[in-house]
Amino acid sequence: MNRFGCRLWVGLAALLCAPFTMAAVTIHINHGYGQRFPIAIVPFKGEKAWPLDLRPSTIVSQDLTGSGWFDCLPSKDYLAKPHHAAQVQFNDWQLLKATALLIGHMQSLSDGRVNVAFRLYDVNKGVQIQGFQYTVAPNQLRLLGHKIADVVYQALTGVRGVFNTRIAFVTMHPRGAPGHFLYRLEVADAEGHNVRVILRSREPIMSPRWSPHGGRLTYVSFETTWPAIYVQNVATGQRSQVAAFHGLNGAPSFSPDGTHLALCLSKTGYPEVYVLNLTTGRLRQLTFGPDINTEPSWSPGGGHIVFTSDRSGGPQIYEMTARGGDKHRLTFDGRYNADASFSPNGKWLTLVSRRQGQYHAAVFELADSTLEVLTATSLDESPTFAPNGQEILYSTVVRGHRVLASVSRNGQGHRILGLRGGDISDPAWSPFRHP
Amino acid sequence: MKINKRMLVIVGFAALAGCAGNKAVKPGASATASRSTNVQASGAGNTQATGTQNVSLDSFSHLVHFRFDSSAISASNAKIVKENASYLEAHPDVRVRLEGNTDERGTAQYNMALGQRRADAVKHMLEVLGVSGKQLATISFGKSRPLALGHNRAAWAQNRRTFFNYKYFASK
Repeated sequence: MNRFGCRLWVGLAALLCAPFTMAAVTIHINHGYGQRFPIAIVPFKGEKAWPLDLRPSTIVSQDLTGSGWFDCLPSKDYLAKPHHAAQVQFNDWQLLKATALLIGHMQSLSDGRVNVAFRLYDVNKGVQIQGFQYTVAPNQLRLLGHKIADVVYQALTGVRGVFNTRIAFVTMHPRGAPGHFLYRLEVADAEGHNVRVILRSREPIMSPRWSPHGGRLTYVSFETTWPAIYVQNVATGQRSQVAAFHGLNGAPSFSPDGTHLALCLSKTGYPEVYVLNLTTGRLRQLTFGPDINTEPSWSPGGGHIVFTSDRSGGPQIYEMTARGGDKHRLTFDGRYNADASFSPNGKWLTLVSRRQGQYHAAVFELADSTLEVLTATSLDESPTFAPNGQEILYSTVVRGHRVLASVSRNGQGHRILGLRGGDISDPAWSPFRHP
Repeated sequence: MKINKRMLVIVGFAALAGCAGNKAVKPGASATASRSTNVQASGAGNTQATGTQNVSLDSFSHLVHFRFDSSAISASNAKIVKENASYLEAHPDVRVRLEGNTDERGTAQYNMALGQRRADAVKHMLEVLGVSGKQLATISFGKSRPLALGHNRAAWAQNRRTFFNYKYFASK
């Protein structure tokens, strides 16, 4: 009871201070990842002159720890704090059982820019794996920190890191009478820091999706008191209303080339999947019939669209060509499968699957039509692949609050993104900014 | 006709007055059963007491509930729809927005479609009962506007609903 009251108070304080303290505190609860890479990250020379959230070693540590694949060894145990190649004694780090070592230094230049250099070592082999030097403006330091984390992640796991990508999500806070809320569409770094509010409304906001390179968001907003679909430039805030038909206007999703939206409209009286040409405004209806057809999502190549339909009695995932041909059912396992979207390599779908009344994030493998439930939580929704395909972010309920959580694609690693304030839903993970 | 219009004006005024404390609240946004303002308004407006016209908005429920994953209207809920139908037939100038909602289980956009079905089911029954389609608009909020905030069966039962929002058009 006490804890709950305390949480409520913290939440309220967060709301009152919202415009001034937009940086979110992220708490990670990691378990189940099994073996992690023990890595030593030495505070960079010269970084003490900068605030904590701009220091490379801090950003890299947070990113790598948050990914669930790394153990960042505490710096108080370090026998030495090298900053340059000549100072590195591999014995020191082998004793600590570190498999990798990251060192570096930063220096302000006379033109105001900052020079940052780092080296990554394989401690056991005693060799340098990576080393780069960058010169950036001070406002680029956070991005640079994420970039170094990406380099380390890729060098040690063989997979491209996602620390420079972003997530979009919707928060809702009760306001006034029951059934009334303040809704916010927000964007944060992939690890939950650096939160920015994209849209605020007293009417519902839902289902954000990113454009191919992450420059735009499409979403549903009820701000006119009726549902409509918008496309908004994330950097400039410039936006346009692209669909406001009679009935449902929902489930927008960008085509992989960014020129079209797949969406759900019910202007004929029934929810149907359409494709909207964003340049000409032309609509093409892809599904027909009195059933529910919604939640379209494009294959990475753009040739196919998966969608949810209850034509068989309950919601199941179907696939068709992007022109509406060759409709066939994909999921047969379980009586509720919905909201599917493709993995970046097109081999898997992530979706919500109901088992014994519990709603779980799941992965469907297209090659052999197998469906695997990934979570033990019961009210999962909106699963979305990380752009490297390694992780799935979703919304679920933990201890009475709707939060964002993620699970590794094999279901082994789980973590919770402790973004503060309200109930958090509808996550969407951005693609890589540059392919 | 005159009386109805006057009544509407008063209903609208009362609805606005109810929101006066918080200007950020859009009058049409109500998904709650805050009927007290309408009560006085319709009572006061009805100077010509004739049969069903004298029925005030607060004398019957504005909420119809549904079973899980269903848009079927049960017998007890059909009674509520009929009471609303009688009122709407007696007040042909009154428009109502039928707001379909779901509980939080399942996916956001599939629930939007389910919420629309719940609004459409009530609209269909009202039309069968003789209410003009011109008096009726439908919208789905899916799971986005829960009345009860819990993550349990009791909350879910409350949230699976179609709300007769009389304030929406009255305040426009």
